[in-house]
Amino acid sequence: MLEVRKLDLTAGDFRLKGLDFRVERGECHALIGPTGAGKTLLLEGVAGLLPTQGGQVLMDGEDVTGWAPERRGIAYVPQDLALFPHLNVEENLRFGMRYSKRNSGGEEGLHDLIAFLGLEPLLKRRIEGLSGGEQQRIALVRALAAGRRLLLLDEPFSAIHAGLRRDLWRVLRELIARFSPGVLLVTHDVEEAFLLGDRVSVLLDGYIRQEGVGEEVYRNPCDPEVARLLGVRNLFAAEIQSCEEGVGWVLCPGLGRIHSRIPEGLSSRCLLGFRGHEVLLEKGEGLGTEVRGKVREWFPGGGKTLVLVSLPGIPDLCEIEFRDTRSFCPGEDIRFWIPADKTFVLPAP
Amino acid sequence: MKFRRIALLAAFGIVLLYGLLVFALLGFVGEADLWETLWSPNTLSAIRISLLAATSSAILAMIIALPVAWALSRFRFPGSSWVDMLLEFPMIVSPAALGAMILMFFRSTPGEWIHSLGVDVVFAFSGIVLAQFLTTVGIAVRLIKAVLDEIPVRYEKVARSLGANSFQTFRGVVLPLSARGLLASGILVWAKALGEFGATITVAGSLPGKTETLPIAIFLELGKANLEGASVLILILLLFGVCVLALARLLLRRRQLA
Repeated sequence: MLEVRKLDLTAGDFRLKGLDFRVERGECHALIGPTGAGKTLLLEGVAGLLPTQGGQVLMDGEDVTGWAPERRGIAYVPQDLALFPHLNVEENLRFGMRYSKRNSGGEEGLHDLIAFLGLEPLLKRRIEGLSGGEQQRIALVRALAAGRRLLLLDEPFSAIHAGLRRDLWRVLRELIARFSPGVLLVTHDVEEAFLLGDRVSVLLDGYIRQEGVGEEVYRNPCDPEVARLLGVRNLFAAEIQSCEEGVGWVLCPGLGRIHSRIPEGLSSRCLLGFRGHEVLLEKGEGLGTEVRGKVREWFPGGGKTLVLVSLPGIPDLCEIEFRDTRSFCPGEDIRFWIPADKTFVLPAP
Repeated sequence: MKFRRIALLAAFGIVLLYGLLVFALLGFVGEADLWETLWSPNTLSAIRISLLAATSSAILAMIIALPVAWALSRFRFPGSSWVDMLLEFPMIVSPAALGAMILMFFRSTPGEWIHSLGVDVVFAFSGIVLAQFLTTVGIAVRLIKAVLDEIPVRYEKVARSLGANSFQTFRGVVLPLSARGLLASGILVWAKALGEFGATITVAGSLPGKTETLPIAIFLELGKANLEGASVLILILLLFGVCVLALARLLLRRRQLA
């Protein structure tokens, strides 16, 4: 559906260089990046709202790079949704239909969407009185009613409280399943990116550093910066001891010998990483490593406990998380189990 | 004395000063003069010419200023800062000088060519409109640009991505969102045009019943040392001015509340 090839975009001194990615029909592609990574710039470039400095944007195989935004069939939904305040809900929903008669699903399509998201009671309401969740649903329907094949969502759920955000994730998933638009979602929320994204791209320093199926990117971040962005707090210097068919043993001071997946082409010096909430207090099934350390600090609350553990022989602290509330004594010995399939190895910086 | 108190005193001082001016003016208005001057053919024609010319020039200024203001508000283009600076031109050149420049233009070759097409501005009603237009169009651009700057560009971006072209976006999103501000700007431009004197008298002269506007009539009454007659005309002008300013403030206030 959408194919972006070697796209270059500039805003002042900031540049996005050689961006390559695809979004298929009925697929959500999540683009994750920190604040200021150029996520909005990318969306506006794809939508045709900003001039591009190089590369191509293709929709269904057709090069639309030089096309005006209204001809591309791409709806842009900004962070604050930009529902038109001078129009009521129904007029907002019909806005795009006025100008895209050929592409929209017409009255039937609109009624389908309104019924699907239960918007009938809101149709005559003004925008300013609506809740955040209602506004989100209206913005999504407005874009789909205009017959847009691809939705560009710019951190649409960032201003919504956690409970409602999960409801809206479900709404988006259902909309994609029922109406099959392609969705390019940009977000800085790791959980949101991996829960919604069939594919995930990581945008850092003006480049797409990594792109792939969500679970693949989550399990195998390509470098330490990407790993940190994806919420990995435990990265330790290590040395590869053996490697056969992508798995092997890694010696990590403080942690011991750890069995891990090892990507090809790494030198023996590397970083070993794992997520704090994936360690176990008891020895698990399968391969893994038992690690011993001393509790430095702990922060119980919200049904979980974050523990900072000092490891023998290294100054770095290990951060682990338990999904219950626990209490420790400072300096108390602690043992935990790192399952081998939850570890990964990265090139040393 | 605290600065806040000084600032408040200054504000009250200005109000008092204007109040004293109005009070002094009212001292010259007698009941007999009021009705006699108000219903005299000369006054009625001055009011008619003033209202017609100010309305025409304000409409013209707003129509021309709207796209200029939109371009300045939304785009950076080569020379945009020069255009922005040139809009100050009527504000830094005195109205009489601007009027003289209009006269000189119509004595030049392009001006004479325009004259040969039948467009007559010197000592004519169209001269008043032209003088008022040139005095107010820069202000109109400034006011409209301020209104447009307040409308977030993302509304236009969304409208474009939903299928509206740039004109449809302007008509369907920008104009409705800025309507009240544009109306208030139009009223202020109209008030400015109504009170315009220097450029108007230089270009169009003071032909009674033809080019004599209210400010010119006031000037002529003062020339005849008829303070009573002048005071009634000033009162009329003041009344128009106060009414439109109150309306503009009301519209702008509603816009802020909306």
